[in-house]
Amino acid sequence: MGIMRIGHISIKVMDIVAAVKHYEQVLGLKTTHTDAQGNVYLKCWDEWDKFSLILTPCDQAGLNHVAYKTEHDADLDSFQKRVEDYGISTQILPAESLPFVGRTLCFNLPSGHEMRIYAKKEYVGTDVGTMNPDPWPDDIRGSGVHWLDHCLLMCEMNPETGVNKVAENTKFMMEVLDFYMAEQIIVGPEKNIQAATWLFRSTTPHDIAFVAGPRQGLHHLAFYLDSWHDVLKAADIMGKNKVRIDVAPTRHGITRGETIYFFDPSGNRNETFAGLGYLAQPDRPVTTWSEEFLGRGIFYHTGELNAAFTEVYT
Amino acid sequence: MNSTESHNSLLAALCTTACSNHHIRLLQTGESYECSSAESLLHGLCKIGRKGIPKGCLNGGCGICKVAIRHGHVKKIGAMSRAHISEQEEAQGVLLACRIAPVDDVEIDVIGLMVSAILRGKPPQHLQK
Repeated sequence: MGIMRIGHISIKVMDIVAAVKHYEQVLGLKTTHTDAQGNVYLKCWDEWDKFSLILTPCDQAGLNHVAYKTEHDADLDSFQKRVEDYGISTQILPAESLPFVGRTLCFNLPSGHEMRIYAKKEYVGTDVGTMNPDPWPDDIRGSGVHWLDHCLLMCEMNPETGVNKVAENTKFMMEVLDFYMAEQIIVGPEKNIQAATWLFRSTTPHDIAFVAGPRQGLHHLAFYLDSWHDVLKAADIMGKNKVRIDVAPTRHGITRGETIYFFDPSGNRNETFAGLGYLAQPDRPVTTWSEEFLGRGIFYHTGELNAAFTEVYT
Repeated sequence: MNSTESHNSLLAALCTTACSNHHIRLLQTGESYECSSAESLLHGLCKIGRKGIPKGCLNGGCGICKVAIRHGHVKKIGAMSRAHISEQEEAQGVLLACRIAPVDDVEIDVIGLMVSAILRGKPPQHLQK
């Protein structure tokens, strides 16, 4: 079946102690490994592979790479050929280049972001197990997020010079990695500029999203919660922990997600969101948002887009 | 002096040394505000109540609150991303407002992405009376 889901994301943090505390106590992940370089690996309680988040100490914030898990090891060879045939150079990193991870296909998206695809990662099980499990474990901390759900990458766009890395990434992801489009934003006087796209491989509205900006970067990484009430509780936990909230609980028009945005201690934006929105399927018609309804698409209740939401990212 | 008085004078002393207020002046608009040495320059700026000041991540990562210190002294209260503030800039007093607190009265120029929000609806200082 090819790519199944987002597998992990590796991000840079400027204070590793503060970062680990944030992702453990506010989000509710658990540390599963720390390597010799001081990189910290964490997972959510409902995930069964060894880790979904890598925090790397650095003098800046932002993305190192995002990795997707494919079903079969042989997929890596076919994807490598297809990516190379498309004109993008690749390399295969040997197993254990990242601890607990099998051999990994590595390349840069047209936008410049590093993407990886792997088929194997050490299985450790969820916190409730597989035999007669409880619906949730007793030692949930903070927001108790279920799993890393998706990421949104900011891609360079400049209509004057004709640069549109959103469109280039989208074409590549759909043609080469077999992603499907759930929704898109189309702007410009000719209504022909693809300014944002939401793409999926799983059955949820997005496993990755691309939005146009002045430079490439990481807009946010998002974790899944069960319900609107869990989103409210997550906001309470952020209040308790004095976390900088970017957007208070609301709903997206795009994906229909119930959401809250906030920042980790290095300024990387996080989202916890609930609601699967709808069943994403390869034959589902694509939803399109026009420039006039851009604000409504992003924040459905107010219809107002705050500048910081699109200008601020790492 | 009884123990309560001693406690109170200790608190007072702590407040004078640890939480003193300083005068921050925005050279581009002539506006000024009070900022405690216990809060960031950006936190103080947001208290002016001007609409549209992009607060950003407040954690030194996004770089939107870049300012240049033209006069006075500040202290660093957290890490700033090298993607936005180079070592050379830092040495020249170009810093992120969310990660510095005033040590004495300070004069700043807002630079980078925050400029348009700060200058919106405000005539340049040389045109103000």
